Amino acid sequence: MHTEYCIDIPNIKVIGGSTEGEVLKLEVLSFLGDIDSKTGTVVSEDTGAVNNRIKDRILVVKKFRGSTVGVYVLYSLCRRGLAPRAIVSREPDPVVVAGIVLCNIVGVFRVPENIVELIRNGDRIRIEPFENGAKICIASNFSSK
Amino acid sequence: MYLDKFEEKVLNGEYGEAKRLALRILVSIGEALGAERLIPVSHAHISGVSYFNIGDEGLEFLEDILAKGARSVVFTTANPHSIAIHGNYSKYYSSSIVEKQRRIVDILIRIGVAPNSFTCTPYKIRTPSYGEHVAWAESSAVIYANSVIGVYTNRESGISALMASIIGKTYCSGMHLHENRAPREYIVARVDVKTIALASILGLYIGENSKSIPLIDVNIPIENSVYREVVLRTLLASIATTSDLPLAVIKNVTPVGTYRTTTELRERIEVDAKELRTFTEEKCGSILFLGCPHMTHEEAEFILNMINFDEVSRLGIEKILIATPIQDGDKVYRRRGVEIEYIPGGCPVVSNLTPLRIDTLATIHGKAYHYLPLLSGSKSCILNIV
Repeated sequence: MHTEYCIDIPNIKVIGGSTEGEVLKLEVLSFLGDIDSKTGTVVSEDTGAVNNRIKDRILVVKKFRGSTVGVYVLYSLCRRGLAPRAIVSREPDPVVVAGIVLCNIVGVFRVPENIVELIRNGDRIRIEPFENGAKICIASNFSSK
Repeated sequence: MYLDKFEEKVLNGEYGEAKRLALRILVSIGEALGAERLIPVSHAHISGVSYFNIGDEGLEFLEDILAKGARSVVFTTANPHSIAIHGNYSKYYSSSIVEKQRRIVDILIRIGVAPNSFTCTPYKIRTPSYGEHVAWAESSAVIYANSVIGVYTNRESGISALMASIIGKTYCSGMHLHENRAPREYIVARVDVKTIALASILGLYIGENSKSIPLIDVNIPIENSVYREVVLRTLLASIATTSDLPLAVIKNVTPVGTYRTTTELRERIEVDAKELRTFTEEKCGSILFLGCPHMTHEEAEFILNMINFDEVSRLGIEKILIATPIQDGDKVYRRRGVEIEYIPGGCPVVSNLTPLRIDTLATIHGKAYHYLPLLSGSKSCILNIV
């Protein structure tokens, strides 16, 4: 059973346009080290998403960490057609933003912590930017939880 | 974003394709981060030098920007390369890998990177002055620059730092603005940091548990300035490994005036020894790795003098591998039966160690401990020996 609900959130920063897709939620992420750049698979246990592929997913990331080389990993994933569709988080990480800009994918930042907590792995979300904010629609598949 | 007349001409391609592309990338990142203008920088430091990390796509990106006419307009340094081009190790790698690693280094030097750099400690090549604005990548160097030297830099990505080197400016946001250099949480360490290894596990813990720039109250009861600096460098590098923090204000260390002191600290975290991960007390590999971040020869020899070699032998260490800035040169010798080898300009952490059949590297550094299993194919452990 799917139930979709939408929230208008002011002051969200959206890079790129509207997007929708299936959420892959990560506790923590550095593109260098936590993602296999050849396959786009999550390799670190403490991300909470190990063995998942990031291709075409909407990554909802609670915290970024580590390497400034992550931009090259994201860039390589884009070139190989293995990139995520969008990256959603609280604070923008300049390293990840650089990768988003180079890849031309969607970035959604300054999302309030309670909204990040609300979104669950496997949810489908829709993001529609408006002036100085965005509408986020979340469709949870309760039967699979 | 406001652009002056010269910057507009650059963006219109009047100064060539490389500058146009570099400025377009910097402006796009800056606008996404809310920057209102660009800011001149005096020193760029580039990460993304190991072929194992950036791959063929990264190499092609560098080839392309060089072909478009990229040249540094400010002093520029770069991170260590992999050990694939080191004389003692190139035999373990295919000629294609060695050639591609050489090519990356060659391209960066042709763009304008100082040939004597290739270190994760650019402040050992040129120490910026207090209050200087720079564009550095390499998370450990960024956090050291902001927190110890009093320099202003964002945690630039490897690519944006290269673009800043070509333009001589970067987007003015984040750490370049004094109002953002404000600690929001208070961390009290109830453990005296007397060793590099302890600085590592404390730093990894602080990085994992910080949500914003911390003010850290920690006692580092070390009088010797060489040892104290290596301890601080390792503490900060470890924090930057498990977080995205560009700055951690350390009481009595971070220069007053380079951060805001008037903000309310919303959270207090107390850390004592029982919350930190434990050290390995038994044999966990025959090679000990030092120099993450890089140590100069002088620093490393000082550290080696502090190590109890009887303990090192009991732990089964047969060799100590030390990553060091390039100008310090090669050196191999034996000390108390243990082989000591310096690797200038290189770093085993960003190298595939599988061909060398290294199962586990012991270390004292939190950053190496974290990344070795993820990047090199070798397991890692932390020994509390110094």
